[in-house]
Amino acid sequence: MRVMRDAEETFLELVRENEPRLRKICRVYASDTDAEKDLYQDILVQLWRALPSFAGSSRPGTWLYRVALNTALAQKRQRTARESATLDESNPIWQNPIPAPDESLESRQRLERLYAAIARLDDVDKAVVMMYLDERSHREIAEVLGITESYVGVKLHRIRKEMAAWLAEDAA
Amino acid sequence: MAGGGCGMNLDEARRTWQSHVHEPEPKMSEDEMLALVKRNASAFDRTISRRDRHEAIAGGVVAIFFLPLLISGPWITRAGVLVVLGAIALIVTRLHAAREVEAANRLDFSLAELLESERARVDSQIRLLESVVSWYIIPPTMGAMLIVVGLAGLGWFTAGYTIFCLAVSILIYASNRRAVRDYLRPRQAELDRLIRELKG
Repeated sequence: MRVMRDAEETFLELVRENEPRLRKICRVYASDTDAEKDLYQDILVQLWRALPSFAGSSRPGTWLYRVALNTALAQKRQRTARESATLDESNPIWQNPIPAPDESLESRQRLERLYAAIARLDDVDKAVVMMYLDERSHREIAEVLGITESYVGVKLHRIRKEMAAWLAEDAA
Repeated sequence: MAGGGCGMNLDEARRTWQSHVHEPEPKMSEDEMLALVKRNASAFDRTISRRDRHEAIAGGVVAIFFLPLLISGPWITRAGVLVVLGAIALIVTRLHAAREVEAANRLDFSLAELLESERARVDSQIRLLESVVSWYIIPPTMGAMLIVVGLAGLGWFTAGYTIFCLAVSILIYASNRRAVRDYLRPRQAELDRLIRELKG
């Protein structure tokens, strides 16, 4: 009972602290708002299912990115296993974002431009750039993706060049 | 690194990314959200265990149905029952082995590990479905044919039953080929694409 309570608290804390990050992952990988809702729900379910392995994880950020990206990218998500009640329009886990009170129109436009540039990347590069924007180290990115740190550097070098050009092009 | 011209550079992109925090509409309490996630996780796990249970029950029902013939039927029918029981054991073993490959996937794998593991799972499913004739169709059909020949002899009934078995077998074969073509091959191609993107 106590163990279950601890797990629940760990899970809620994890979701609370990482909600913006998870929503950004959904925004980047989902094709539309409905798919975003589905993916967000799937990620929460998979985070809960994977929680026993969280205890032994030395880097919570790496663990979270792994589960979330694996759900978004590599797992064949099982719609049939989901309760139909959660698939309707009023999907209760998903709460529509509203702009923060201090968020300017310009800031939102910049974010939209950023998402548009990220959308031009391939699926793996999207993961790399999201972690880069989130100030994850090369080592963490390498651990999440399962490639070498030096290869992360090579990928980032190319992605940064592409992104910088696209962001400049969009502004022009 | 500068973005160039009047565009956003990547330092600004980073600041924009990190400063943006979604403010969700307060709709659901954390406890309600947790309860819903747990329900969905249980439903997910139940679906997998239900599939295993249904296979075991189906195998058991078939075995119970044919067992009396093993005791009292003519020798050719008894041979057929033995073939059917062997076929059931073969089918359950093959499906269980396929499931173990599936269960080897871990959610906290690195992306490279998960993609390779998922690719191995899809390859194994393709092999399984493409070889369905040898382990799912021929053994039980042969057993059933022996049972009918033992009970009814060689006549019109056996001929009709043979045609029926052939039709069902063709249907099973075609539906498995379709599953490979419509679902597994595209999934395999998608995983190959991701692996290529990851490894360059």
